Amino acid sequence: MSTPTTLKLFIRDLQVGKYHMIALACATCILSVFGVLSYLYATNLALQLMPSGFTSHVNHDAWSNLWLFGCNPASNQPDLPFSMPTSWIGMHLLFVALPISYVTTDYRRSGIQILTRTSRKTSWYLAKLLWTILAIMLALMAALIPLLSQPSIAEILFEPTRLPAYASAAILSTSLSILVTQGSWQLGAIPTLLAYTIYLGVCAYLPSDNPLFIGSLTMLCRYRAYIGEMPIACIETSAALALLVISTLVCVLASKRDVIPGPLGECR
Amino acid sequence: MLRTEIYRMLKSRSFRISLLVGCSIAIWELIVVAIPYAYGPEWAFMRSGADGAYPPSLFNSWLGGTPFSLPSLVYFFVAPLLACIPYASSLHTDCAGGFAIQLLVRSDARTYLRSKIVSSVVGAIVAVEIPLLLSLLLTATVLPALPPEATAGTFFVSPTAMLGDLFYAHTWMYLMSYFLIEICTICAIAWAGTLLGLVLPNALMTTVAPFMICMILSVALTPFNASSYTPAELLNPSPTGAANVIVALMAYGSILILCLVITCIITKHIEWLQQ
Repeated sequence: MSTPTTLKLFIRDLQVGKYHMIALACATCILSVFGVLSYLYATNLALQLMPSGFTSHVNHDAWSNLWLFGCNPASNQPDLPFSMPTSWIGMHLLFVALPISYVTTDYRRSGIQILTRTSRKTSWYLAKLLWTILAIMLALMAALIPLLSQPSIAEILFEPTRLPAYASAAILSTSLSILVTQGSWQLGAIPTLLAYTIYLGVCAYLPSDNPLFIGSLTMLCRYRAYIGEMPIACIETSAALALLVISTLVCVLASKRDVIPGPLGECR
Repeated sequence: MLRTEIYRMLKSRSFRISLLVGCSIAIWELIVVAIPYAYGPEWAFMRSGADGAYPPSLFNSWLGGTPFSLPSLVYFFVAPLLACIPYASSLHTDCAGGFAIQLLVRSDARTYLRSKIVSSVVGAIVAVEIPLLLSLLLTATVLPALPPEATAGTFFVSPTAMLGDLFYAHTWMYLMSYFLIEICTICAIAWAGTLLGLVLPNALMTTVAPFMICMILSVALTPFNASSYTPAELLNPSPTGAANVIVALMAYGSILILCLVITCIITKHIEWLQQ
C-alpha cells in the first residue's frame, strides 16, 4: 500500500468531511443569530431596570453578543446576578463536538484501515488537525454573518485596535478547541467534553485575572489592555501558539503508540 | 430484558463517570458554600442572629438552594449532559454495532425498545437526582433545616416563582414536587436523546445533541421572555424566573407524548431498526 501524504489525506478530509464542516458553520451561525436576539433583549431589559444615571454602564455595542464576549451587557455590574453565557459556551462546545464527531465517524469508516496499513500514522492525525483548524475558522466566519446587519459594523471593522483584539481572541479560541479535540483522542470524547463544559462554566464565572483560565481570555467583555506588564494580545497569541504546539505534539505522540488510540468517540 | 439493560447501564463506565462528576459537584458545593455558612467566621453574625439576621438554613445552602453559587450554576448547566451520558447513546451503539439484531432474535422489538428507553431514563434520573439528594443530605449534617422566611432576604426562591408560596408554607412538599418536575424534565431529555440515536451518525453526537438543544433553547427562548421554561431553569429548585407549572408540565408532557408516538412508530417498523 502506498503511503498517503498529509496533503492527500487532508484533501480527502475536505471531500469527505464537507458535510460536517457545513453543519458546524450552520450551527454556529444559528447560535449567533439567537445570540444577537438574546443580547438585544438583555440590553433593553438592562436599560429598563437601571436608573437613568447608570445607563452608560450598559454596553450598547451589538458585537458584545458575539461568542467572543460571552456575557450579558450589564454583567460588569457587581450587584447584578451572574447568568451562564450560554451562547459563548455553546459556540465553544460546537467547535469541539462536531470535529470530534467527524474524526470519530471517519476513524470507523476508513481511518482504522489507513492506520493499520501505513507506516506513517502521523499523516492521518496531522490531516485531521488541519481539517479541524479549517472547520473552526469557517465556523468563526459564519458566526460573524448575523453581525453584518448591525449598523456599527463599519466602525468596528475599521477601528485600529478592535479588530486585532477580536482576531487574537479568535485564534486563541481555535487553538483551545483544537487542543481539546486532540485531547479527546487520548482521554475519550465524552469525559473530555464534560470536563471542557465544566471548565468553560468556571472560566465564565471567575475573573480573568487567573492565567490558568485561558478560556476567559477569549471573553472580550472582560477585555483589558494589559495583564501585569504584558499586553493581552501578546499573551493571547503566545498562548494560542503554545496550544497549537501542544496539539501537534499530541498528534505525534498518538501516532507513536503501539496501540492505535484513535478518537475514542464511544463510551461503550 | 429490562433487567439485562438496567444491569448493563449500571455497569457501564459512562454511568459511573456521570455519577462521579455529579457527586463531586455536590461535595464542591458543601465545601465552598455549606461549610463556610456553618463554621466560617465571616458568617458568625448570621449564625448568632445579630441585628435580626436570619441564620443560614439547609434550604438556602444546598446545591438546589443557591442558584448563583458556582457549583450550582455548573451543575444545573451540565445536568442535561449528565442525564444523557449514562445510557442515551446505547440504542445507537447497539444498532450500529449489530448487537441489537442479536437481542431482537431473543426478544420482540417492543420489549427491547421499552427496556432500552426505561433503562436510559432510569440512568438519567439516578445520575441527576442522586447528587442533589447527596447535597441535601451532606448539607443537613452541618446546617439546621430552619424553615424558609420570605422576609429574611436570604432565600432565593421568590414568592412569585413557580410553586413559590408552597416553598414558604410546606418546604418539604415543595422539594418533593420539584423533584417530580425534575424527573419529568429528565425523562423528556433522556427519552428524546435515546430516540435521536437512531438518526445521528455516532454515539458522541447522540449524547451531546440533547444538551446542545437545551442550550439553543435557553438562548432562543430569552428574547421571547420564556427563559423560565428552559430545562436548566426547570431542573433548578431555586428558579430565577416565574414559570407557570401547568405550562411547564404541558410543554414537557407533550415532548414525552411525541417521544411515545415516535417509539410506537419505530416499533411497528422493526425492519428499519434491524438495518
